[in-house]
Amino acid sequence: MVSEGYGHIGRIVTVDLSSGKLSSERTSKYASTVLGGRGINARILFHETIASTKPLSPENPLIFGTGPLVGTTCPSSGRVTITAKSPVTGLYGESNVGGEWGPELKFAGYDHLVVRGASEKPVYLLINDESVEIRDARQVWGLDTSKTREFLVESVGDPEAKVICIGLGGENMVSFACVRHQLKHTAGRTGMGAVMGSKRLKAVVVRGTRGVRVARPDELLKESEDIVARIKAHPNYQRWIRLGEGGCGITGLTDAFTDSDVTVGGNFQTLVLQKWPRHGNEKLCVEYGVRMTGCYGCPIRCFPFVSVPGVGASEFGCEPQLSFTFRLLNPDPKLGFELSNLANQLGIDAASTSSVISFAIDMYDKGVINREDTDGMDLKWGDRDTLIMLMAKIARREGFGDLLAEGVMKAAHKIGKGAEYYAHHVKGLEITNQDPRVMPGRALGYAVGSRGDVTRGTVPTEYLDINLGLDERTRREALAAAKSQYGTDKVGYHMEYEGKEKVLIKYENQIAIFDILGLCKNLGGYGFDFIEEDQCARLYSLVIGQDTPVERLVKAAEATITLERAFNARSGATRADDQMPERFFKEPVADSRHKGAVLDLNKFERLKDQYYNARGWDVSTGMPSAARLKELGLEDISLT
Amino acid sequence: MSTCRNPYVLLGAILVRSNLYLEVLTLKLLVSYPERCSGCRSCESFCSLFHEKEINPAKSRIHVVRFEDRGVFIPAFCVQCSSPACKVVCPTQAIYEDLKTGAYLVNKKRCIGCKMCVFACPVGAMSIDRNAGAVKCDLCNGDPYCARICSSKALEYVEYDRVGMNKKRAGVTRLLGAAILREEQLVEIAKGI
Repeated sequence: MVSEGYGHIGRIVTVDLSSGKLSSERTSKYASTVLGGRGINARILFHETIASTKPLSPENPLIFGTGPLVGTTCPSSGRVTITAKSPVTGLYGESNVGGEWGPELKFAGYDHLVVRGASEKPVYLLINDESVEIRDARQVWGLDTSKTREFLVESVGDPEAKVICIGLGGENMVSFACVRHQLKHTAGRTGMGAVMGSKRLKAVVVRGTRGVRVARPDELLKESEDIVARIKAHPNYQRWIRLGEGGCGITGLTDAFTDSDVTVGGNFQTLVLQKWPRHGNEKLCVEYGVRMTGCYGCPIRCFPFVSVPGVGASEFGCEPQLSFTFRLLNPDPKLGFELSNLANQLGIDAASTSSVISFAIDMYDKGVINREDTDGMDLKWGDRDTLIMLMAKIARREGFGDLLAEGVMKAAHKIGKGAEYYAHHVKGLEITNQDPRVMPGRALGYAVGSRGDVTRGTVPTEYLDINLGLDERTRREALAAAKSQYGTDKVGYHMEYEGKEKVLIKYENQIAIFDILGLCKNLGGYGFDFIEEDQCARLYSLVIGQDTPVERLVKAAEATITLERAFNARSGATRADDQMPERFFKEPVADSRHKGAVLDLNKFERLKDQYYNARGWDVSTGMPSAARLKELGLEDISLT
Repeated sequence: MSTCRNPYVLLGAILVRSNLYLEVLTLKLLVSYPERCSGCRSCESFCSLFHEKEINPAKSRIHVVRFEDRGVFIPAFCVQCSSPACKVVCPTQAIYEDLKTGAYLVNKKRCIGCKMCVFACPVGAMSIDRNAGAVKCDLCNGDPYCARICSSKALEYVEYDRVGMNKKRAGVTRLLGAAILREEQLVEIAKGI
């Protein structure tokens, strides 16, 4: 049982934009099996939709969820999970965002915000402590995300107000539109911005002055301090922060990825970008970096604030930077930075935008589409004018942009003529910047994830072999540790298949635990293994005042993942949807040190079998069995 | 003070009046380096949890004023002025100096909640609590939590006499960093030629 008032504020507020009615319910109603955050979001979504709910219809609820540790002294506790049925995949959609909005929502007195229905006129929500108000947003409709924030903060009259909003992309329901908070905090994937736009909800402004109570304040103080100290003493932290002294911090990872030839160039035709300056991103950050910035309560500080004269000033994000350089065969880091800022202003997801543009240019090169299809534009790789024009067209849904705004899967379907071969997606969601052909474990993560998964399907042991700047001794130690944990050290070699499903399950669960509690993935194996699950359990116990074993958190994580799976199964997804694009089994990597790498269909299918078995899901359909649902406390879930 | 008969307090008062206490005690100062601050507000959450037993930035003694658009974050807190406005305006003389730490504290028994100190303080370090009256930084009794947990080293609790040198070193290191960078660029350009 979850006790009220400690950690959780205890209340969920629901706003119905069709009727303008507000209601609230207790968080504990949903918290028993899934505890909080992403888990509660998944539960609300499951109960409020049916199999036939259309993603952009008023019936699709948009759910903002914090977690029991959000807004506390726990490290990196500033996350919000945004959940709805996804317009990109038509299945479970969810995206997670940091910054300060989540803690502020809790300081205002709510754990979750559920938005139902749709307004006729553009509106925004103002949550000021307990009061929730629907306000006219006609004046900000059509503005970019920065101006929207400035205008709303001004009109609310409180510079401390935190704004989460959509841009043109969301307003026009571009299927991969994102939700943006502050400068670069973006709930990017699965088109949550489009769902927000379909409700004519431009923004949610939050201001709170209440507190988050915890059960054991003194012990929590001590424990949080210890954990922050331990993070800072961690060898990985030392390694990346040394980079940080040059002004680039963990963003140095982008260079590690590009150095190790795993970053997709163009539309998967190369892993090497000609003319790319070695360590280009680090140099950009060192030269133009102002300082490191980060989310609420975070000792890691991922974002360098970069100010490039003539280009703009903003925070620097790793994935967007790779998307707008390598993915578009653009060797100029400054242009990449400019485009990622533009994507932010327009409110479209960097990863999907660059995927869909690279898909279009690739087809144009191969002659699948021609000038008539592209509104007379000549599509060129890495060309500033082409790219800016395409992005604007996508956000406005003009001409060719209207087609691309559907995402690669639907666009390829409409174009026909074999375009599907160039469309790289899982369940409709575009694949991001690490080539899965080089890492079968990661490919498995992409394939079986509930949202066509990207960041959650990670098998970090694979990086031991790809070598993100690890020295030999650390690598050998890590391999030995992997062997004792997973029974084989093959998990530490990137082209092997054996044992990868075990690593994937461990990290899927770990990430789910972070999302449930409201911590950041970067604390765990997603990036750096700074803290382990048992430390999460300890923090959680101190916050809620009940000793919670780590098994309880793992069970909640499994329940959440299974619930998401059940949601997809109810919408008609089966094992056949857990598939990587055909091209990755046929066409080997063309260049770089990984030349010739390709996925093996038989081995891959066997890996999937093992994964389903380990999860307690049916091997032939990929659906969770009734017994498994019962075991996880989800007996009320029906798959039909 | 003159009515007080406790000899130790009297001695303390004499020391304060004559500034002799600066020689007797090693006083420390809470110093900020805004150029290092990442704006994470850990200081606020730890401060409020330590003092108020709940996490609530509205009740924190320190607040990071954020200007995200420019990437500027400035921690605002009590700098323990030498002749503090809060103390001057207090009609009940509720504000007194803690001789151990040099922090100005609020005597809750004397505070009548008139808020004059809140209005007078030039850095906004005084805040008001509906139940407790005026609330301010007490340097956590000689070990400020904010400085202990700041990951960016943007807050430092350091002896008076070291403040100037530390700040100078930080400033020069920054400038030097930029200069070295330019040198590297020159070398690269030279290679290119």
